Amino acid sequence: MNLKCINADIVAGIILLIISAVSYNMASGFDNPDAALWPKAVIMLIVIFTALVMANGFKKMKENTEAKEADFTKAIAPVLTLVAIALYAVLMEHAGFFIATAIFCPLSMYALGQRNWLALIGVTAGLNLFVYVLFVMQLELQMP
Amino acid sequence: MFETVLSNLMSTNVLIGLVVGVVGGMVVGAMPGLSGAMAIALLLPVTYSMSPIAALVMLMAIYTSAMTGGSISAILLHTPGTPANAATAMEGYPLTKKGRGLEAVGMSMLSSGIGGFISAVALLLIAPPLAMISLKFSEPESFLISIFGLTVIGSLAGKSMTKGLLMGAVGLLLATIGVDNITGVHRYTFGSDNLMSGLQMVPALIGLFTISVVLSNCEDYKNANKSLLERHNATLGTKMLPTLSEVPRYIVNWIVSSVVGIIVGILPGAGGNIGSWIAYDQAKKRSKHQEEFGNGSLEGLAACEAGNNAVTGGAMIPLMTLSIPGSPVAAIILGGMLIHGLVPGSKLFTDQADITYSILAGFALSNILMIFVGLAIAKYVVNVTRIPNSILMPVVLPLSLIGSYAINGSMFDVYVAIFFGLLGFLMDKYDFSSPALILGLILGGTAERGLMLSKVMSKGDMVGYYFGRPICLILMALIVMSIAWPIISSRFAKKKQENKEA
Repeated sequence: MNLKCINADIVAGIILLIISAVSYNMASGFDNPDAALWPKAVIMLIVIFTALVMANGFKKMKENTEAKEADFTKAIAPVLTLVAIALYAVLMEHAGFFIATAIFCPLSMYALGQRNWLALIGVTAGLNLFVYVLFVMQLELQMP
Repeated sequence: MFETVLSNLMSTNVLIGLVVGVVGGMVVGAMPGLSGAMAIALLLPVTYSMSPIAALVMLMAIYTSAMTGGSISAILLHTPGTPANAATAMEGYPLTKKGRGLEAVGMSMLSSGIGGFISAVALLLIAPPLAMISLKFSEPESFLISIFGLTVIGSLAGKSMTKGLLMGAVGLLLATIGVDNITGVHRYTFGSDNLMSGLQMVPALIGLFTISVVLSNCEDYKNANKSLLERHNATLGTKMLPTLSEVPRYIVNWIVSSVVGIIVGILPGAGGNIGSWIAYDQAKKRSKHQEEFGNGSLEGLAACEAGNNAVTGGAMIPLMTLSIPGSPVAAIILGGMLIHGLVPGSKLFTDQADITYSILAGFALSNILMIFVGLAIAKYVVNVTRIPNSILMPVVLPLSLIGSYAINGSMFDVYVAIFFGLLGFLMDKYDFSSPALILGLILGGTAERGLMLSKVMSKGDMVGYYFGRPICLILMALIVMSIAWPIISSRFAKKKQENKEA
C-alpha cells in the first residue's frame, strides 16, 4: 500500500492502540490492583474512541474524500526544526542557556531567511539580556 | 471587603501585572500566528514569583486584550490576529479600504472594552451564588463534574467529537503517570525520579500551545522573512471615536451583543469566535442598515467585538464555580489558578474571597484600561506585524524552553515541553484537540480521586450510591446530553439540508 494514501487517523489509531496495549499490560503488573482500576478504564475508553476514529479513517480512505493524508514529504521543515530544537536543548544542558542561545538564535534566524546582521546580533543580545534580567536577577533562577 | 479589594488592586505588583497584561495581550493578539493562549502558557512560569492576585489579573487581562489586539490586524490588514476576529476582518477591512481604518479600530476598542466590562460585572454577580452549589458536592459529584467538563470540551473544541473525546481520554491516561496518591503505587514512571510527581502542567501547556506554533510557522519557512505589512497598504484616516450623537445608535447593540457573548461564554467549549459570529448575526437581523453589513459596517464591527470580549467573562463563570472551563484559554487559566492554590468552587468566594474579588475587580478594570491603552497604542501596535517570523520564532522558542525549565529547575521539563510541542503540532495538523488533551490532564487527578473515594464510600453498591444522589442524577443527565446533543443536532441539520435539497 502506498504510504501517502494512508489516512492520518489510521496512523494515529495504530499508534494509540500500541500505546494502549503496552499501558494495559503495565497496569496489570501494578502491585496494588486498585491502582490499575482507573488507568485500565481509561485505556478501554481510548481503545473504543480509537476504533471509532479508525473506522472513520477507513471510510474516508475508501471514499477518497479526505484531503488530509499522512503526506510525509511535507514534514521536512518541521522535522528539521524539531531536530534543531532538540540539539538546542542538549546544548543548553551542556554549555548553558546563554551560550546555547547565542548560537541557536542567530543560526535559526539566518536559516529562516534573516540576513540583516544588525538584527541577528541585536536580537540575540537583547534576548539574552532580557532572560538574564528576568530569570537570573528577578526570579533568581539557577540557569542550566 | 471593598477596602481590601481596593488596596489589593492598588498594590504595585497588581498594577504592573494589569498594565503588562493589557499591553502584552494586545501586542500578542495583533500578531497573526500568536494567540492569547500561547502568551498565557508562556507567562505561567513567570507568575510563580508573583502574588496570586497579580498573576491571575495579568493572565485574565491577556485573555481579554489578546482578543481585542487581534482586531487591529483584522481591521488594518485583513488578517485576524485570533480566530475570534474573523468576523471583525469582514467588516473592518472594507472600512480601512474606505480610509476609515482608525475609526474602525476606535470602535473595536470601545466595543471590546464595553463587552468585556459587562461580562466582568456578570461574572461578579452570577459566580458567587452559583459557587454555593458546589458546597453540596462530595466525591461522586467531583468525579461526575470532571467527566462533564471533559465531555463538553471534547465535543466542542475540535472539529470531530470522537477525536475530542479520544484526546480527553489520552489526557486522563497521561494524568495517571506518577505515584498514585491513594495506593502509593508507582505508575508508568519507568523507574525515573523525574516522573514520580507526574507530568508537570506548565511544560505540557507550553509545548502544546507555544512550541507547536513555532513548528507550524516554520513549515512556511520560505515566507518567514516577509512581514504582513509588506503585502498591505493600510490607510488609517483621522477620526477615531464615534461622536456623542452617534453613540445612542450603538448602545442597544453593545448590550445585546454582550449578553449573547456572556451566554456563549458560559456554554463550555464555545469560544470567542462563536460569540462574535452570533452577536454579528443578531446585530445584522436588527439593523436598519443591513446593506452596510459585509461592506464595512461599524454596527457589525461593534457587535462582533462586544460579543467576543464578553465571552471572556462568561467563560470564567463555570470555571470559577464548577471547574468547567468555558473555552480552551479558560482551561489554561484553570492551570494557572491551581498553580497558585486557587481551587474553583465555593471556597473561592468564602475563604479566599479577598483574593477572588480582587482578581475579578482587576479583570473589570483591565477591560476599562484596555479601551484607553488600545486607543493610545493601536496605531503603533500594528507595527508589530512588521516583525517577520524569522525574528519572532527564534525569540519565542528560547523563552518557551527556559520557561519550562524554570518550574523545577529541571532539564527534564524542557524535554517534556519539546515532546508536547511535537504532539501539539501533529494534533493540530490532523484535527485532534489540544485543549481536550490538556483538560484531561488537568481533570484526571480529580476524576480518579472522586471515583476511587466514592467507591470506598459506596460500600460495594456504586450504582445505588450514585443514583441515590440528586445532584449526581442531574450531572449524569448533563453528561448524556452533552455527548448526545452534537450528534442529534448534526442529524437535524443533515435532515434539514436534505429536505431543502428535495
